[in-house]
Amino acid sequence: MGDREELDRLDLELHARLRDGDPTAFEELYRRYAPGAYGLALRVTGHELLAQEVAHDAFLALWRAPEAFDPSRGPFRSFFLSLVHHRAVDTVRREERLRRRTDRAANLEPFLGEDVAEDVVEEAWIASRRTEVRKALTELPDEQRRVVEMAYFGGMTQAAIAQELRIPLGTVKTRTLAAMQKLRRFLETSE
Amino acid sequence: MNEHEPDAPAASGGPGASRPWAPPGQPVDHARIDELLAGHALHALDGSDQLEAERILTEHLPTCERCRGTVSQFRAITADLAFASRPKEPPEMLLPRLRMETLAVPVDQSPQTRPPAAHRMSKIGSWLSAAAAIVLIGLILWNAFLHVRLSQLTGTQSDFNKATNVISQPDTKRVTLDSFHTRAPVLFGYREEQVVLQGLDVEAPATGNVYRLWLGKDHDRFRFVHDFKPRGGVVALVLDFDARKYDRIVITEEPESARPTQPGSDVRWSATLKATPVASGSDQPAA
Repeated sequence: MGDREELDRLDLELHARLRDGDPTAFEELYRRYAPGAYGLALRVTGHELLAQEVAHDAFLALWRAPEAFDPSRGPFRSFFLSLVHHRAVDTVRREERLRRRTDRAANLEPFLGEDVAEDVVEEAWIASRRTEVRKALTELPDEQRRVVEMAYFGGMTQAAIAQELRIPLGTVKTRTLAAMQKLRRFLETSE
Repeated sequence: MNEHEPDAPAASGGPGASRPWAPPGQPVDHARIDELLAGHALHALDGSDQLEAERILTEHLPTCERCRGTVSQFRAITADLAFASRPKEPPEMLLPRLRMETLAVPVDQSPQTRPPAAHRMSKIGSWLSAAAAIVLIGLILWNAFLHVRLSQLTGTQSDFNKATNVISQPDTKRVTLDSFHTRAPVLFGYREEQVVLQGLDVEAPATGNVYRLWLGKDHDRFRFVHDFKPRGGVVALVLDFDARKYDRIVITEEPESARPTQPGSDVRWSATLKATPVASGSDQPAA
């Protein structure tokens, strides 16, 4: 098993069972998405305890209100990882005073040197998609990749990015849009 | 694409800025809308830009198929970006913690989708049996865990997790230690060949002093078990020691240089244990 359609179908099935209050479906979704959720939260927050709280809150929110996921708006994994990302960014902004600049810099290290997954078993499609997304990011011009990384993984607002990079806010917006459009092309063609 | 240099006032969406979408019949500034939607998808807007993006989503999107498509594509990209981070197994206590909390928080279901009560109780019952060992103390421990200071070392957190694992075992007996000196909660647990001590917000002993853990039986015969100092307010000890034949635990504060022959008079915590008959064997402590 490993193709995207099969992954989506199983997610939908698990989500339907979750809506019925089935705790085993919750555990299966946890098994499938906890490493991705925790890894994302860790990358954004740069702190294990905060990342744990983000993952915890996201899974608890999923249990409390599974109907928040609307299958007509995209796959479950997109919904859930977006939920995790939003919570992680909100956490970073709340805890900003606790983060040192060096932590942030470490968070934004390039992806290429990393092992894709240490001791984490993933669905084949997810592992493959992970590689594609990383490749797409590396193909962006540096200045465009930088603003996307600072926003998405650094949890920074565009205004904060402009201040940090000492460039006009409009430039940040333009680079962000250009990066998103390129990513769309890269990722559409690799699907 | 040309970059804005310098920032154009309209792009900043200030109080006097015009809306990028226009009344019917007039041209719409889709370039600016796209910029706002891109920033919104990355959760990177604030202030007036955020308000502007939200108004686009609620007022303009319902009438613009192009922008609905853009939002959908940007959402897909941000979802994909999550995959660029390295997956990592979360701490092993996260799932047990979620199990406990989901027991207390039922799924928010509409009456139409809610299963029959008996069916639901049966499912919850199956979880209860799995989580029963930790439910009693889990909420207390995890509530305390949340207060572990962010500045603490990873090693301390790891020790705390190990202690939590031992103290959560179904065969571990647990005792909360009493203190006249401090309100810091300290929990002692013991099971066959293993003891655990766990506390939070425990103040450090005076300079040159340590805390000493003693176990006693028959009122006055005490055996020294271990010296310790809290790290960042955290006590998390797991020792190989059979405490089942003892009926009392005492923690004293003593000079580190003093030989641990019998408990000093400065008792910080104490509690009575329920001694159980056991076969004689090794009970040498080893951290």
